Amino acid sequence: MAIADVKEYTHLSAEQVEELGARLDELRARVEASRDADDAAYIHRLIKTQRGLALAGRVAMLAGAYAPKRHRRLRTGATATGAALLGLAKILENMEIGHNVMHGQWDWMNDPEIHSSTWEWDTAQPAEQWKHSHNYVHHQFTNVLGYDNDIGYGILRMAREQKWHPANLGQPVYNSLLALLFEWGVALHDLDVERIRKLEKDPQEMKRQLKQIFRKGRNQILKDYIVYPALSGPAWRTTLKANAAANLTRNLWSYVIIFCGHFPDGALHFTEEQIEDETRAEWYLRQMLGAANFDGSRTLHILSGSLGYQIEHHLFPDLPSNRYPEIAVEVRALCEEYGIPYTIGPLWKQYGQALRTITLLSLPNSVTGHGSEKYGEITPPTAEVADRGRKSDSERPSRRSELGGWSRAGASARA
Amino acid sequence: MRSLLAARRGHGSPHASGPEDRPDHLIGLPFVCTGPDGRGDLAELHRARVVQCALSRVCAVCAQTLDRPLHLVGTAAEADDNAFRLPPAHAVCVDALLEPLRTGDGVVLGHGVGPTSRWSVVVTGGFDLVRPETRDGLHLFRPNAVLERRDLA
Repeated sequence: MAIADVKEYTHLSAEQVEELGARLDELRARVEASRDADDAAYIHRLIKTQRGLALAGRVAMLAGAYAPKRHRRLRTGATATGAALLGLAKILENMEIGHNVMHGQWDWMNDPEIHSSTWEWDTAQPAEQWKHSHNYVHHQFTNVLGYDNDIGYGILRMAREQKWHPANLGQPVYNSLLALLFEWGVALHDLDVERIRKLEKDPQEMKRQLKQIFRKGRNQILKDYIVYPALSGPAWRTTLKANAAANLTRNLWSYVIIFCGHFPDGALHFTEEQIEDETRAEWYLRQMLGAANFDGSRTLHILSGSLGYQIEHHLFPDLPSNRYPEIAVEVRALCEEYGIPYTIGPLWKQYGQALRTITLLSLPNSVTGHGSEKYGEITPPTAEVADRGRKSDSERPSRRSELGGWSRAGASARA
Repeated sequence: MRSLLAARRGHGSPHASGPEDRPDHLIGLPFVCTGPDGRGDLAELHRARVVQCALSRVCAVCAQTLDRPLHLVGTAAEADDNAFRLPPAHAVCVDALLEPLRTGDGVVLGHGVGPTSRWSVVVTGGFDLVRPETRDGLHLFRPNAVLERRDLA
């Protein structure tokens, strides 16, 4: 089945698909041309706010640590406030600032600090590995089974087409652990655990990546669990706990937001065959069909790294995130005009659907029936497709030599 | 697309710190010309590598993370059109692209080259990636914060 056969847009002619692509191009060009000082002021303001929160959090923790012991309430209150402020700062830094800066959304400002090449974020994964695993692998191969490591992060079965294994019965447990330790799961993400397990990973590359992760992880641990607690003197244990709480808050929040991007009902998965030699317009369509938004206040969107506009982010990952709200209005209108699904819902509902998929897919397809609304009227696969895991180089098909040999028109004619 | 898929599965996840960490297999051949097995042809740009360089923000020559500002190399016409075919490179890696373009003959790095060819280097803070409209079209890099343009013979 080619992507042209995905039922959500089989009603569109090849000309309509190209027309839709051209309109998205036009939208993109308009936003690119209008990037200005207001956008720059947004990111500068946000970074200033984030740093202020982090500083306030640290000061509050220190105040709690050095307050007289007889003021127990004051000590506890200051520490809890500090942990909350620090958690908020970490969420902002990772989601709306770090993630988007590393996409190159602000490179046009030519700011020496706020640049995709130089930004290093406050989490265990080295920025360079993130730019490979997320910017390239996830954004280029979005929701393609066997290619996009974000489909279950190598430990969860998130699509019915993925082969079931008895180990999947433990998914609810793995999922909880992933949520709690999300920073460390992300840190190991680009290692490609599946290939390591199959002994397919280049040992030299693995060693180099591990060294990089070790250095970054060590620095994170030093900062949050040794240096700052040491500065707190006798109250070091309290500061350590507060730092752990801030990291845990960030982990849980970023896990929830990220799982709402591609796993709610309505976000489709694709196969290698479906994305073969796609045009720009078809690439746009795959991004729209493979992503899910959630609605909420402006504050919620900023705290979510603007990933509530996941569809718009996947269409235009390098446009400034503060422009997604206005872009979303036009993208949604285009979806309505062309009869393409625009998946959106409240955060709780989107996460609930993702959680249901995780739970149901811990069981074999034969037990769960539909298991998800995402298949609509299509009969869902009752048996898992053969292993969709990564293949070795020798198993890969060779590149087609006749470029442009496949076309929607050709596919229609063959049908 | 298959070459993209192949590259995703294979080598080429560069994570070192700069041009000095260039992998051995890339000595003598820009990263953007290589396939998943590390081999390639100086004449052609490997489509998957072009996309990987663009999205992962790595250098077209040494495959290591870019620094700031970025350097785009292409014909004077590409510079005039603000649309380059080669992904950005480090300042110290620019010569690895310019040298074969200026001294080669026939097709080099996806460009027809000859004695009359004119080359430019544009220094920029950032770029916008333009995906091809057609299946066999080219990915283009549009500098969006130009700091300097150098026209070379």
